[in-house]
Amino acid sequence: MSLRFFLLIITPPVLGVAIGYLSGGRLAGFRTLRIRALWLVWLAALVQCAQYSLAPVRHLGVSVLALVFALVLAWLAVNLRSWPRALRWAGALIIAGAALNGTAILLNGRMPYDPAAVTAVGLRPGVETPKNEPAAGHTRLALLGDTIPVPGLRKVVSPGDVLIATGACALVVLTMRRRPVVTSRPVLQEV
Amino acid sequence: MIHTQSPRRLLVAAFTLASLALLLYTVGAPHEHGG
Repeated sequence: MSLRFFLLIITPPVLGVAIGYLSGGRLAGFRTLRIRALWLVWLAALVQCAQYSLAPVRHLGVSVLALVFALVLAWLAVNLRSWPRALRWAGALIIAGAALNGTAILLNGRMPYDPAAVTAVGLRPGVETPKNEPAAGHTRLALLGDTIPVPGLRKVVSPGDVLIATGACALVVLTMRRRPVVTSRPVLQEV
Repeated sequence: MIHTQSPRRLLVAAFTLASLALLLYTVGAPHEHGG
């Protein structure tokens, strides 16, 4: 994982913290929300990391990606029912994004990327990774692939990635805006 | 005054934020290679 990729993935929650503070929220809001089984997300990340770094796992292809998606969706399933409505919408955005990405990967075996968009951010087109491949004539639903250049970070993201990032950011903002429960007197818990 | 930002609570928030960052790494699929 490069520094730029790291910056890309931390941007949604960090932006969420910034917006949360600007809108009067506090990190203490995380006290009010029970987020269970986060280990499922870390396990998914571990499996994803193994696919990138371990040759035997790399060649397992779409089945590994299916496991990664299943773990994250299981985490959302565990939590969504107990979250308040606004946070469920944020979770729904993440699910929708994952579904779009999953559809593109399922149809093509890997996530297709637009070679022109890759060139636009200064990357070399034609490179295949365990998760990405260049779109070609036979690519299905190429529009769901990585088609959106992010020039500052030299990355190309998909519409699904945008939904996931928006959902993660919204989850942080909405959680921060929740008020901690004070035991001495009743306090509204909803946003 | 209610103290809401104890180190432990900040750690919990930081861990949760780090977990949310992993969503783009797992179910996200940004392309970055070939530079």
